[in-house]
Amino acid sequence: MNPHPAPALERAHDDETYYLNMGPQHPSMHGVLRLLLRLRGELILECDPVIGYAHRAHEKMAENRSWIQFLPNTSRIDYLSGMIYNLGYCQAVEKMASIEVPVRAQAIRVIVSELNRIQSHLLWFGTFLLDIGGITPFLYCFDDREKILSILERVTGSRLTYSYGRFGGVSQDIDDVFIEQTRSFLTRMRKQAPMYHQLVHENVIFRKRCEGVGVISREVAHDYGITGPTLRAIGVDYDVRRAEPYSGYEQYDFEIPTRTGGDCLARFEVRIEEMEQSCRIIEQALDALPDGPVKPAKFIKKLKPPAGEFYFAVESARGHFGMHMVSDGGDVPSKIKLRTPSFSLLSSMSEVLEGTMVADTIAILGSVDVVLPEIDR
Amino acid sequence: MSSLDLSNLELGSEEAEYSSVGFHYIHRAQAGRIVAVAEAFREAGYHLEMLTAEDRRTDLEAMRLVYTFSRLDQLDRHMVTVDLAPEIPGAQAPSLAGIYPAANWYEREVFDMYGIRFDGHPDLRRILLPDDVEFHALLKDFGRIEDAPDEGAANK
Amino acid sequence: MSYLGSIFSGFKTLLTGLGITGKEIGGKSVTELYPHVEPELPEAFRSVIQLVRFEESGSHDCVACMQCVKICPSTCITIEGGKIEGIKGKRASEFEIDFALCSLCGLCIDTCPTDTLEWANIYDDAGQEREWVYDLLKPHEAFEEQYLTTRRAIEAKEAAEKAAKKAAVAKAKAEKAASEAASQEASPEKSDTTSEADS
Repeated sequence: MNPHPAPALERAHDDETYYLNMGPQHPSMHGVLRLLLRLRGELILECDPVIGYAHRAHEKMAENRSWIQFLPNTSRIDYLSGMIYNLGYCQAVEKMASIEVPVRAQAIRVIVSELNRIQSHLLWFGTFLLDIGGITPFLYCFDDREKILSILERVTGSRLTYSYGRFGGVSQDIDDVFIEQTRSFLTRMRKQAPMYHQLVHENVIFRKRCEGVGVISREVAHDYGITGPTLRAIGVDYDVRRAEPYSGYEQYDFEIPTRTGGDCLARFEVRIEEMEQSCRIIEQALDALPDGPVKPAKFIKKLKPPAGEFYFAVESARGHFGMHMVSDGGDVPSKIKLRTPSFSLLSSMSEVLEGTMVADTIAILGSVDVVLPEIDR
Repeated sequence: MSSLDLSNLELGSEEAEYSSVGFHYIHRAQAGRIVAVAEAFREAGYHLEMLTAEDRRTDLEAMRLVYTFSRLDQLDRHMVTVDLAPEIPGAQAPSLAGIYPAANWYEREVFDMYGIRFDGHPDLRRILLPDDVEFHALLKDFGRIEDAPDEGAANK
Repeated sequence: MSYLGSIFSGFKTLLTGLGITGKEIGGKSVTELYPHVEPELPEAFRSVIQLVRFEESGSHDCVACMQCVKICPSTCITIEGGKIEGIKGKRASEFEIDFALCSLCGLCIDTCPTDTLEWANIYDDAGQEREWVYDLLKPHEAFEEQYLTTRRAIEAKEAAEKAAKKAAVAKAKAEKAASEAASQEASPEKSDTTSEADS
């Protein structure tokens, strides 16, 4: 069944325009995204992103499972920030139901979340360069990423979809080997980061493909509700960890890197610097790791939260991830809305991609770091 | 940019405790006034953070729309709810796509999942579900797990 | 001139990148030669779920309380259980998990009141058919008879001890009551005179 193109694309066109389907099966589409393009040669006249190929009905599942049963789903919404989403959900339910979290669990949450963020940015770095033609750094990044995944596998048991958080803490404590491995990873990452920078930053091909390409203006960002590294590359230093601190982030000293260019190069530089800032946070959290329990004495599986509407947010690797939760006082949520950052980013692409070339489309989509599963949920 | 002026908009406003619920104010608006409310927020520099709907036909006799407006430079979150007629099809609200382009895709998702129509939306069609299905997935009377054929032990 | 200059400087940046690549080529290979080399599994590794074989009792400790069945988000656990003659409490007679549905979340392990569920350490498990239902009681079948016999013996002994203790307590109580009654009979006038003096 062929979904008819959007009415906007049905306007009368001259003989030199044609429709091109980019995706949903495409090696550079960052998931199953379909871009319906109206082209004149290489120039994009109109662009209509078509999504829904990865829709797994997470919001419907949330209404059919109890609060604790929805926990494994949260890692799979955006599997590259699976830990951040998992712990963000736990923290939201804890705030709603007024459950206290011990300080050691909060510090552990910060450490594993920042490791998750570095891992996501490393994957983004490798695939972004792969998209624009630089095939080499991909496996270097994956080698570093393997170190993170081994560290996280030690404590949680999984590499990608962790169900590590529990209401009131985390499911398992970390040990000395974890701390030692994390510290040696930080040393390694600090040696690798200049290498990545040197490898591509001055490269003439990289510069020509990224500098000045895909400029997102401040008005467009405000109109579409864009957050995350894309917004910070325009000069707005908005970060949920600073604006609405959670899990003890207010006690760590870190900077929010910004650039003013708003183009692909600026987004690239912001993410490289964010990796270094995450290393700083992990180091401070390890140095100040308090003692104590990491979860409540009794496993919390039934909740009686107050009835009403709630909204809590965390900073994922892609931006502001918000959860709007409606509770009717019972053990099953009435509704959970997942406000994911990539949804807003992709909705702005129809405006940003107009007037660019097809090759620039790949660079722009790669640099804004869209992950389709969190758009389709 | 002016400061936020929500008078004369027939809003029932309440202050909320941020540390327990996550927002600072909750306003109840009429469907006919939501465009003016959005314009007031836009004038004051807020962006549309989220737009969703709830199926409250059983307990509140309404289909409810929920908007969240927020700021980037300081922490100030306003939640606005609009109650519509409890009929699908039938429930409809004015579209905010002309004021906040972000609302374009959010309203398409609400239409797809709940069947609420938005007047003035430039391109109201389904976004997540296939184009030719006839159900609206997040309505409470569609697709409950109890109605699914039973495989394995029941756990409800 | 600036056109040629930019070509030259651009080419130089390409050489920088190639230099780094050349250095990495000469470095150590990081490939793990799986399956010729077995991977190192951490302790917390998540594989399929299995029943623990406790050392003391020699078998598992599932009491068919259905907590794991109720908490599983994927409804993949099937348990049948009941009372077995001579043993206190229930015991599972059928325990199946459908691993085609299981998402390895671990909520069943966290909620089990007798801690009888745990992660296995199988990293190379693969299903060859669509059906992937595991019978968790199969590995424990060999030990079940032994366990039941031992358990019955232990419980019978405990029951006997308890009965003996109860009998001893009852006997002591009866003796005390008998001696009190005897002392009451021995001095009835003493109590009568005191009561007369008071009134």
